[in-house]
Amino acid sequence: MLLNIRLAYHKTGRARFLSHLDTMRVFQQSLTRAKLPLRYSEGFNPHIVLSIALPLGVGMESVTERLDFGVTENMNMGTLPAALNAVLPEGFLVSRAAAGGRSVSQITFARYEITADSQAKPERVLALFASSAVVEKRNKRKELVPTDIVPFIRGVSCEPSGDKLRLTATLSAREPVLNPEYVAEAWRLYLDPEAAFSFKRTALLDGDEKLFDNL
Amino acid sequence: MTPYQRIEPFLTAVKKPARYTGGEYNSVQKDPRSVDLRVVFCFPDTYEIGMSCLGLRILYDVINRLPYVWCERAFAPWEDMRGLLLRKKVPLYALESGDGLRDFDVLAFTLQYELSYTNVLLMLDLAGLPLRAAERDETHPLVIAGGPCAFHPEPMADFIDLFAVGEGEEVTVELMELLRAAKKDGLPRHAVLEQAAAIPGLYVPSLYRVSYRPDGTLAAVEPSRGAPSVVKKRIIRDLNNLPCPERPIAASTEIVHDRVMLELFRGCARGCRFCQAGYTSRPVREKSPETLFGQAKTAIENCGGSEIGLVSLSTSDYSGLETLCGTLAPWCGPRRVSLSLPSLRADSFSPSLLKKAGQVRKSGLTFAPEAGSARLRNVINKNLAESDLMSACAAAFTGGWNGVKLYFMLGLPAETDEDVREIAHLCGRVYQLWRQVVPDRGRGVRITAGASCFVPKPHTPFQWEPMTPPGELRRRAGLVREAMRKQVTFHWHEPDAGYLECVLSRGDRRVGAAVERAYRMGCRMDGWSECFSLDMWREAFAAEDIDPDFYALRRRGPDEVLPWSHISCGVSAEHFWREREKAVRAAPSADCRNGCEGCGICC
Repeated sequence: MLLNIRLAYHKTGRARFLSHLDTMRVFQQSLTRAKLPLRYSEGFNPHIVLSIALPLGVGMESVTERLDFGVTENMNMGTLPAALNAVLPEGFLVSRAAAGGRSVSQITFARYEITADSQAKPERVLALFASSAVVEKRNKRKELVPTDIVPFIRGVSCEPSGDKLRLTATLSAREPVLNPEYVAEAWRLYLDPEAAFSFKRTALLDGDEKLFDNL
Repeated sequence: MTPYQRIEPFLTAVKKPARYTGGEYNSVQKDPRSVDLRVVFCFPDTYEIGMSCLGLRILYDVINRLPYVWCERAFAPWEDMRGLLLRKKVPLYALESGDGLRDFDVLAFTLQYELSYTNVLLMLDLAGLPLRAAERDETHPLVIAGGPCAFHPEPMADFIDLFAVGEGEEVTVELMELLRAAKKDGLPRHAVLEQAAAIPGLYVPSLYRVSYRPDGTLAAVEPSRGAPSVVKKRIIRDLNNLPCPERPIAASTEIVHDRVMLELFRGCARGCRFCQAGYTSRPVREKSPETLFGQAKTAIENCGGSEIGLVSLSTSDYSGLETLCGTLAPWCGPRRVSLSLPSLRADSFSPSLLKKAGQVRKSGLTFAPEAGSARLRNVINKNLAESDLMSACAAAFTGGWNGVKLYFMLGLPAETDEDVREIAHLCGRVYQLWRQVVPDRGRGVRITAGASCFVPKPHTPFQWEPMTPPGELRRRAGLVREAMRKQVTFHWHEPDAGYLECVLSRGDRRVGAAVERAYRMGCRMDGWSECFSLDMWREAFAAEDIDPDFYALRRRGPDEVLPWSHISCGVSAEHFWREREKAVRAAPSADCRNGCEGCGICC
């Protein structure tokens, strides 16, 4: 029997510095430690079949990651999160597990909380992302091309948060994907070159801007 | 805020920031208020290299088993991280707590290779500590060092308070007990060091006075305050009862050797005359297959790793290899854990053994004839008959491997141009063999020959020999290349790094000034070819009025006091000299298992 299991997990704290590949490693090790009936790839160098939707940038936190892996037996989804959390390193937290799930290709937007240490005024931030913001953006061929990122921004809001500014931005998560780094880049370019940012992915949305839910 | 917390917001600016965060599964967290001593194990190279080091993993485990000590880790930052730490004025910190190194009781370095010496100074400097032991006091951590280079520690003697010579598992615990008591009693540093010097295997360089002859050679190394005249290395007699890391740290980011290292045995019975590890790790002591099987299972289950490496100086010499593979491979198979067997000798290579080990990938096999001619192999006592190499290669080719790598050294003592060309001829004969034994040659073959430069090392029979000068090594590499047939890929290591390695391994205490000067001039990460500059080192030697050729290229006499004469690996100088004389006659010596040559280690 072959089953697909989808996990929803958080990646926060020190774990945010792990790259996409590192994160795959961590789950390969952790799923092994949890002694699950894992499905392996065929071939000389068998490895656990797993995939992570929408790779997260190095240094960014997320409370809404999705990972799929294969098993060969039915499993209790209720106890799986606790079993995995017991063997995951610091910064990872599995919140839910379910068999199957919607196709990740339906993920159309991702929402980020971008916290900026910046002198910029919220009105000016909103004005920038309502007009046009051209930055050097890598295209599919990895070439840097001047690109207006505003068309890839579905919505933004900006409010003060303590002595910082919090920008909530809903960005395209389908080709062309907009990495929130480019939002920060535009901010530095047009508003405040000294601004420093931290990022947290807070939601995945489908084409109707509804939560990409039930895993 | 800890130094880590101060640098964390900027970490995305450096490459592979996960190297600088800690937080890996099985890394050890303790409450600092619950311990009496805080130690940081310092590896003077990058995270990826250091985390692949068995010594780090063993000692991290040994120290953290002590409830009264918390042992953490620190590695040398790569250039971008070094720049970031300096710009933000954040000191080097330990990965577990994020606390600055200056706040620890002990900084414990491992000296795995000479080209990491400047990184030791880099780490002390980034920690905000004076580089020289004499400039540190009770307010600073004690700086200790062990590892292979502690057998010839003099070039680092000015920077390190205390060296641990030989195997560290027991002596480390003894030292921790001493330091715990000393801290409680508020003992001054000089008293701590004097007490430490009484523990066998510990070398406190500040307690030794070195004098020189007019010709620059050593006159004497004299101990004071009760320190022993010769420091003897520590040996663990029974490896089976030695604790072994049960919960190895699972590195979250890619490291060089990401596997559970299963140490089959220590020591080597072969007596290759060029091999320092072969002598300094004597005598041969094996772990039982049962012990190893249990340790492998525990480690893999606790870390979730996917590879076990059987490690030793010569894996195929392990008497329990068949038994171990017979039990381990069936356990590994269904768990998709792969088993790797590095360090196989050509004269005991068998495809059936690798089959038993479940090795299915037939990408490449490596054999090390070390020298091209049988005569030169006798000189170095690498007693590998060409017929054995040929049958190993034939077995490999017919068994489905389509490539072999052959390793050689250039610049061995008494090497002639004929010996050098013989490297190419031998590779040619391996290629001919492939043509003869493989019926279907459609897939082709990859025969690769690699040559490194021979560096005569302390505690070997060649410790008195000059290194072959780099220019001459280049000429000899040219001879090999000319004579090599085009079907064989040949590469070799440039001799400049080997030359420096030779100076730093055979140098005396005066060389330390050049190490410091080189560091101040900007030498770091010397083991990385993109960072290494022999020209800069030459400038540093010149500035300190030190002639590096004196250490690298000079032949020493049998009566000369060597800078490591007061450090004993258990093998007597008489034995080394006898072996040297036999080398001159190209006479082989017996494998320990076939007859005792009386080296002095007394198995």
